[in-house]
Amino acid sequence: MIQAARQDCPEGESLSDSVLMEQLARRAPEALEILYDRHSRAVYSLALRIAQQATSAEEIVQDVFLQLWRKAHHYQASRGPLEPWLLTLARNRSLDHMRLKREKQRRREDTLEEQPLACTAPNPEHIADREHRAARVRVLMRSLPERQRRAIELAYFDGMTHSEIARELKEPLGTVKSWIRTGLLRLREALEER
Amino acid sequence: MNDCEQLKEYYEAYALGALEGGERAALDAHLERRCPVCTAELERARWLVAQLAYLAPEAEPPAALRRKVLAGAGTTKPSERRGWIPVWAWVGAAALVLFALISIFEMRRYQADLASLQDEIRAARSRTLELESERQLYERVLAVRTASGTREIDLKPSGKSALPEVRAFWHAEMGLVLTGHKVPSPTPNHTFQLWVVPKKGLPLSAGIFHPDAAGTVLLVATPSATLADAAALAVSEEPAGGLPQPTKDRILWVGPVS
Repeated sequence: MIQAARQDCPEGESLSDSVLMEQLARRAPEALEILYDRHSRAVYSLALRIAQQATSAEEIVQDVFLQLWRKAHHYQASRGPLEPWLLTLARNRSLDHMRLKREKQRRREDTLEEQPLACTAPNPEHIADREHRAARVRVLMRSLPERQRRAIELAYFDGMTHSEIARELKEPLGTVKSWIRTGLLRLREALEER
Repeated sequence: MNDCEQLKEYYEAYALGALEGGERAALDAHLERRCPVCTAELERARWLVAQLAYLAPEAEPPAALRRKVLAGAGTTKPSERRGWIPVWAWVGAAALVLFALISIFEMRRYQADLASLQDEIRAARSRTLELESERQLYERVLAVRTASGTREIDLKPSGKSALPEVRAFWHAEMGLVLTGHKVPSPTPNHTFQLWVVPKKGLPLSAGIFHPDAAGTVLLVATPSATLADAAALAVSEEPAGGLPQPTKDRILWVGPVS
């Protein structure tokens, strides 16, 4: 299906996310198709990693892209690239889904208007493309000591706070804070390196 | 501005959602005052945190999901309502449906094979990119080690410890490489930290490192001190995350930059 869509609209592949978002705001369905083909894999992978269930991950992906369709006019390209924004939205939705499942608490409605999560890439022209970035993230994280890596994963994929991670890993709170900060700063250095 | 200096260590944890209590309240209150410095830095931190999504194992969303999303957005046309249909048409349609079901069954088998092959290709591609990243690292190490003008600095264990020697290669423009073999791991919750001791002034951190499981050390650093101003290199053992200045009685290796 993805292949077919690409054949139908080969010129769409070269359009930037911000141009597609402008078209989406004007209710152009082709723009949603291209954006879905471009980003659904990353969003689905993240949702599946957090929710651990294919049916939940599918609900989250639907939710994220329908949100994108309905609220496209609120997106401002000047406030940062689309993909980190989409991934942040997918992460929040996935963590909400898990919390709801665990605690049956009311779902937080983080719409575009309520939570405009601007994500500024440090040096866009120097940042490697998505696949290179993904490879660098994985290599860097593998180079961290196992427990430091685990602390960062618990925060990102399980939505844990510093003190929850300290309890989970049975480590001092200060150590956990330091692990997370230094780990992320090393990640930033690795991603900003030419 | 003082607030910003104090709060900057919270940006990443805040973007990650790990910050809590008074620290979170302090940054929230500061952001409510629309501080341009912290707002911009927090946006950068959000971008950084979003990159962690790539740690999730790659998975292909099912093809039916694409249809659901597009249908949910109302971008697919609903089928038009038909009028009266004769019986022969229903029989023909049933035969077509049966044929289509058999075809779909066969097609799904091929699709499953194809999906499996695509997954293998993706995994191989991902591994290739990781190897490429590692290759670039080793190329940089090789470039520093073989460049003319690279200074070789042996760091000997301080005191009477039975640690192996480590060696640094420092090129004024290409940076510094620290290597070592059979280096034991630091004590739990600690890390090794490399220092440049300048001819004048306080030591400057050049990075933290851990030996791998085999005890191999390979650190590539770009020290903020220049080679010409450096008097010595030293390695100390510090609490995880490192410290701004070395702990004097925990200096494990020292080597003069002659």
